[in-house]
Amino acid sequence: MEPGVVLEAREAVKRFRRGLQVGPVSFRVHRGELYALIGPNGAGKTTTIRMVLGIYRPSSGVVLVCGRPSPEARGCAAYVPEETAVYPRLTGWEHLVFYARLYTPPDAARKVAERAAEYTGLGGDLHRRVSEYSKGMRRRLLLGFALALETPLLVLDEPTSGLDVTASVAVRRLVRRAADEGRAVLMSSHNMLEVERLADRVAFLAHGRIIDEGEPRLLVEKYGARDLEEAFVRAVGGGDA
Amino acid sequence: MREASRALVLAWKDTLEFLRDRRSIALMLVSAFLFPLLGLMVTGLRAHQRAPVVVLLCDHGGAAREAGEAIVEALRSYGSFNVTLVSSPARCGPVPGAVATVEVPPGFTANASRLSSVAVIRLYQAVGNPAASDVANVVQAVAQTLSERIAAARVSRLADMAGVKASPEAVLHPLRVVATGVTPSGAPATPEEEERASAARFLAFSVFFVLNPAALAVADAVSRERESGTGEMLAITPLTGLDFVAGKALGSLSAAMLAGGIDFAAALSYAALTGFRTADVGLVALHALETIVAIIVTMAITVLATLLVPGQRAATLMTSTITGAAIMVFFSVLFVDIASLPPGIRLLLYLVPYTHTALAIESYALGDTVAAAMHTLLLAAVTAAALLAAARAYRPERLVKQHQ
Repeated sequence: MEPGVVLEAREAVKRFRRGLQVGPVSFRVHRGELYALIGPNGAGKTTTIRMVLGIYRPSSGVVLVCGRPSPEARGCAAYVPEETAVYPRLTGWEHLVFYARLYTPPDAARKVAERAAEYTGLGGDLHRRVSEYSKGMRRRLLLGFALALETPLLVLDEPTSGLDVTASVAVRRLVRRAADEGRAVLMSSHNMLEVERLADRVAFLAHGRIIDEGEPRLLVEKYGARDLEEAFVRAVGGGDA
Repeated sequence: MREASRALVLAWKDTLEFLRDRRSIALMLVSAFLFPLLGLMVTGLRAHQRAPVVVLLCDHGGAAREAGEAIVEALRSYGSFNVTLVSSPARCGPVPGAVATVEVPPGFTANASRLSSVAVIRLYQAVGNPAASDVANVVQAVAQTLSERIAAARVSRLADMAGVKASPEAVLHPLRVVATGVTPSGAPATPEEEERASAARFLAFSVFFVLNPAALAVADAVSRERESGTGEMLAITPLTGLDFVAGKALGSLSAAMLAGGIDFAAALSYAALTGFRTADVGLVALHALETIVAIIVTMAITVLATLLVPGQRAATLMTSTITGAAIMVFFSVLFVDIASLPPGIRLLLYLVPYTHTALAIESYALGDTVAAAMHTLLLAAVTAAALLAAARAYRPERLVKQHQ
């Protein structure tokens, strides 16, 4: 793997029963880069992310994270899922301690949890049960922990989905900051406007394949479009936007 | 060491979640104390019941008066009736408003004293009335005593007339079955042992009351990880299959221990309420232990099923099937002697872990501690096998909801 490349997918394919398939997909994400997968629902974004995280073992091809096949690269990537996957009966602080203890030795776990608490910005709310949190607070909790792990790769699935404007802005700032501080960031979204403003490079995903990739500005120019959304529609052959 | 540490962290999280799940704990308490509470309620309400009963003396002879007074005394000592004795009523027959009317009809004394007649006591009882049924039972018991006394007098009289020696008891009951309870070793059972044995079946059945909500709670703790998306978060941690399974097993211990404690208290209170002398701590403690083991078995099977079966609905169906099997087995032991079943059916039942829960309790109650230990060990072995199989079946992708 080239120096500076944190994530590399090489012709990675995931086949499911009944003939469904995502891939082959090939892309690279470098240190300090924010790479976005965009595409409609069912395009294969979540499956691609799961191959990156090592949840799905590619049926063919390979996904390398930190130079190792993704299923063996646990601890190299932190993840914020689209669903605000939390345990409603635990407090925010208990969440942070729980995940920190799963990733790090007990003596280091408290420091990770404290650092995560700062990232979340939830203050005293961390001692309330998560069942009382809004969706935005839950997302900040998970994002705060993912940032505190300081892994080389940060993966986010629809990070602002379902959030109000203020919460979305706060999340975008944190994500951009992570990339600016040198982490490789892979995010999926179908919010084209958000991706256009945030991502360094973008991959258009449709029907389980990457149909084009590049800097948002260059993709807009390439397709003679007004914005990324229009460029995507033209790339997938949707005619005039 | 790290492996154990991660399993403990998962167990800590599951324990916190369970102890804060007030609904499941309340359900366990309600289920466990439902039977004792039902008993308490029935006893309490009966103590306050004052059903109107009228005893009519339509015959003025000594035997009639003696019978009437004996019935009144028995009904009053029962405590649930408001009894009125009416001598020489204007009219014999059912009295409106009374749940039961006991009539000692004209000619009772004459019939009771003649060798060729049957004396009759008439009972008019309100149909479908539980208090009237109680009156009938009391009157039958009194009539039985009086009948034997009259019969004995008649036998003595006939023997005197015939000039022969006769024992009223031998004439009245020339054939008798003498039943003696024996233990599995063949030794005569003491009254306590007989009581323990009859209570054991009920105790084996009652495991279900606490087991069901606790088993559902621990099963839910497994299947919910996938449904809520937290499974995906766990799948990307360094957690191994063994960590996951051991963590879930240890986490379910809190639910199992709490259920065992509740079960222990409920069984003791039920025994105290019903006057069972079987409230020996050993039997009740074993009952609680079997509850704990059965919950862990359920959890182990559920973890395995959840990892093997895709989809939340299928996993829920699997959990319901597991607890359904528990209901069927626990209910069957109330009425069926499993040891007498044909080998094929018996083998099938032995494959259901809960059969061993029930048989361990029964065996212990009958004094067969070796069999009780064997059934408990079998349960532990099934648990260990299911946990090992679950650890082998663990794949990160089995913890996530399928999108494709």
